[in-house]
Amino acid sequence: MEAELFRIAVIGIVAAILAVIISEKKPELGLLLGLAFGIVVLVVAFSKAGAIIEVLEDTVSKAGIDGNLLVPVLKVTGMAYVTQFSVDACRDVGQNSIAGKVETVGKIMMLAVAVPIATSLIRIISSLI
Amino acid sequence: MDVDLIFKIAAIGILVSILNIVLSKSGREEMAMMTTLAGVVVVLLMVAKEIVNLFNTVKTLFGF
Repeated sequence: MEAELFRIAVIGIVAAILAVIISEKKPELGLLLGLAFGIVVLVVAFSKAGAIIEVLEDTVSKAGIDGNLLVPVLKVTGMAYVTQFSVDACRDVGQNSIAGKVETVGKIMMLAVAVPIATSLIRIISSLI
Repeated sequence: MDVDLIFKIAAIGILVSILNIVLSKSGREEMAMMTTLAGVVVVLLMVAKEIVNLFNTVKTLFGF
């Protein structure tokens, strides 16, 4: 894990310098280079995150919590990552309004995924009363 | 790790900017424009393929 972090840190510096060199003449290609770096790094990071999620699922099942409750939480986390990635890419290119729209859509979709949890909470409370 | 992608894009960027300078100096502005466009499209295709890869990773990881 730590070896990979060092490698990614070095690649980040190299990518930043290359992006500056390219951006001097061709800013659009420099931005695409930054995007490509983000993709490479995130793919590496997410390939390591599987173990964390497995531990989380294991803990939830051992604690006797309904496993279906974890699904929306994970889904919202993934959606947040995707939304943030897209928003950052749009901001880098300087399209703040597009970034804002993507952010809004992401928020609405995440809320739509999270609503079933809220309703189940309300159901639990009403069963207690 | 897919580091080659970053260096590939950097190489394309430098190559395109050099070609652009050469073609502009020899008075072929429209060809310089075309090389720029071709370079951007090629890199965009490469990046788009990787974006699909990233989103598929997120999908499988977070159980969509």
